[in-house]
Amino acid sequence: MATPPLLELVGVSRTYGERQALEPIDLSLRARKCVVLLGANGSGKSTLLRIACGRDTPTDGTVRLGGVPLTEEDVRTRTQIGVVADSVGYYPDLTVSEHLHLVAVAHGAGEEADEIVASALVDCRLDQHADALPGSLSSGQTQALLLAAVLVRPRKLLVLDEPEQRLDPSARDWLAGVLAAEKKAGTALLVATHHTDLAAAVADRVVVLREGQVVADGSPDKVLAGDIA
Amino acid sequence: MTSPEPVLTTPRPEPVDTLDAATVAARTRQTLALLRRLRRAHLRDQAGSAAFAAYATVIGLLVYGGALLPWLRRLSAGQQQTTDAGRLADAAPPALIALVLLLLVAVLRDALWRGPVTLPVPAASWLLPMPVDRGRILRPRLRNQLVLGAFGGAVLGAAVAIALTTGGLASGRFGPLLGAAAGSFAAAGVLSFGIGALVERYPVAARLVSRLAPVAVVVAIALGVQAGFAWYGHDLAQLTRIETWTGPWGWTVQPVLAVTGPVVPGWPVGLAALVVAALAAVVVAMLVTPGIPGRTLRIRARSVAGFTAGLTTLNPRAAALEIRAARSRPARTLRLPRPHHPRLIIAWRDATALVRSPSRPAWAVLLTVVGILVIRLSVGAGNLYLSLGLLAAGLVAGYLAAAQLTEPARLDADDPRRAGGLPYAFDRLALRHAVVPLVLAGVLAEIGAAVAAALSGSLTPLLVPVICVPALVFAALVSAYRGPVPAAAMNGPDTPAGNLGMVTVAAWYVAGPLVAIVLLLPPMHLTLGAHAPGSVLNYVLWGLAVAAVLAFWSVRRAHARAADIHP
Repeated sequence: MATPPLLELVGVSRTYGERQALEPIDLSLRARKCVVLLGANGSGKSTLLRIACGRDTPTDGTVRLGGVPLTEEDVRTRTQIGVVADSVGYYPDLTVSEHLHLVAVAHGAGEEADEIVASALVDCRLDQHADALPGSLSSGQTQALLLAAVLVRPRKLLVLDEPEQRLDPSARDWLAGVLAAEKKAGTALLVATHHTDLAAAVADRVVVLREGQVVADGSPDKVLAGDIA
Repeated sequence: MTSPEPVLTTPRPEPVDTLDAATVAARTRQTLALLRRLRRAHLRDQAGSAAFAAYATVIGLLVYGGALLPWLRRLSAGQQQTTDAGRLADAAPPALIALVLLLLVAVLRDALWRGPVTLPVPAASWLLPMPVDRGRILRPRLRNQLVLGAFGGAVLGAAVAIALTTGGLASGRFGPLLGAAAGSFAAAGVLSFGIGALVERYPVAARLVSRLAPVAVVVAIALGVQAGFAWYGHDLAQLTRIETWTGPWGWTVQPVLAVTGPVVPGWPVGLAALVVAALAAVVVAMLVTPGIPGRTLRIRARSVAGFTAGLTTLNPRAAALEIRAARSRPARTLRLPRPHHPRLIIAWRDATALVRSPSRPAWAVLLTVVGILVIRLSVGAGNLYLSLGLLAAGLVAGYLAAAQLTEPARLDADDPRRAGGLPYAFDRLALRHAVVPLVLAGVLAEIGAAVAAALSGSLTPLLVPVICVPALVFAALVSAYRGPVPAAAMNGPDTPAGNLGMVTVAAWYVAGPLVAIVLLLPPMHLTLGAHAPGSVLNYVLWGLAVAAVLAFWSVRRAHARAADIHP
């Protein structure tokens, strides 16, 4: 018997006032798989991501993680879903490594926290900036810090909203490598992006949204080639 | 992009499905202890700043409070007697109920976008998503706010006690009055902040507050009118007694009246009800606070950060926009017929903005009514200074009404690029934005003037709006286009009396209305004292000349604002 999907969205929709941000949508995601959402600004990608990680409540429909309905307050949301999104505020007086240490300890890393943080700094190319304050980082390094913060914590699902933004081309290659490694290690990935090359590199399935509706859904080969209208 | 090579070496912590309460508690302790240790220097700085603020407050109280001591001693000895004590005794109860009601509304409206439970942005970003006990993070913040509510209430209660005693009530019983007022107002403060936590936690409570707040404001205004009637000798004591039992706003006033009179029979029951309600609110707030949605806390953290930034940079407009954005409701889509003539397009745009934000015209109506009433009072005032003071207050209300109607111009001034697609020079656009406010404010004021003319049997009141409305509208436009205060004004000149930075900042914000009101006082005062319309035409020309000056000034300001953005 097939294992149930890790993440399941059934008939999920979202309205803000009179505006329908997301039409009813079904989506499922299994471990070691990556679904990439493509679409223009305002197409509903970020809304869908926020609902998928419990940070927003759908107007209709249900979200299940491991077959169980999900809310932001659910402990699984906080122990199994890592989120990389924009608009994060930093403690202005804590260094890069101290931010990571805080996350690792909160997730029960204990004595291993130092090792985990050190490895994450290297993996995210931040080892030279371990003692820097967030305000002194470049925008790309800030993005790397957000990625490092999910690497130091447990996760079954990673939700990433335009993780490639502010990264230069070589850093985008590195990002694709990080995501590939995560998939290989068993993490499910839900990624919203504007970069079709990132989608081609890591996606197992591509969903294209337009004005809150799914207008294409299929394998990256077919969707990116335009075979699915 | 080439096929990616996996690149990770970080050990993977194992995800879990459940965490027992003991584990969560232990992690929370560890995490918060770590955060305190990492932020020790920062927290020490914060504590130092708080200690300095407390020190400065104590010194200020000692220096200035010392001068107040003899006065307070006279108060407590009951040496304050005024001829209006009887009137005050009649008017105070409804006025105090209105005051408590307005404060409750203010705290609950604040809870719609900010508090009482708010986190700094970093804590919202980093602590909230972690598997830690939110109660340990949020409850101390609620507790601090409840203490603040109690303290603020007590201070306000003390101010009420002083005001009532100064007015000649509670002669010789200042101490009991101080205790009663400070205590009951403190309980009301705790109650309001406790309910505020419910508003934060439950969207249905927030919707209820949104709907009921305007009703409560209307009720408070009605109570104010009732206080006015009571002041002038109408016997409304029975109604007031009923009002003191209508809810916490009335219960709060009962202990005060028990000292000043008229005593409300059964007031200890009202006091007990207030205390029980406050305690219940504290208990319930403590219980529900950990359940405040993370999304709510994140949004509020950002709103508070933006609001604070606006205040810190002495930019109240930016702070106000943050509040408005945080309270934003679904956009109203009421439509007005679209004009086809270019001369009408800005008027249509401004009218549409006001129709879609009906609270602004509503405030304009209310402020106009207040302005007319206060100006009317100025006519019957006994001496010149009181008359001019009331007249100035009435003009301030008129200015504030005009400011509500010039909001579309403020939106343009917030970001002049918004008007970049229009075929008008930005400074000339200021004049086009004057059309709708001039028409609306003029009509509103003339309606009031027509009533006054009918009552007085003279046509002179009909000319009063012609004198003041254009000038007040253009003063509002001067303010709309002023933009944020320049850094040079904040620094201010150094003088033997100290740095005048705060004076120049204040001048930056009040220059338009101040000039308008000062220049309008003479013609307005002379017109209101005249009996025949024919004799006031010169004053009408005076008012219109003031309007022309302010119109020119608003165009200059708009020009400068555009240059700020596109130097």
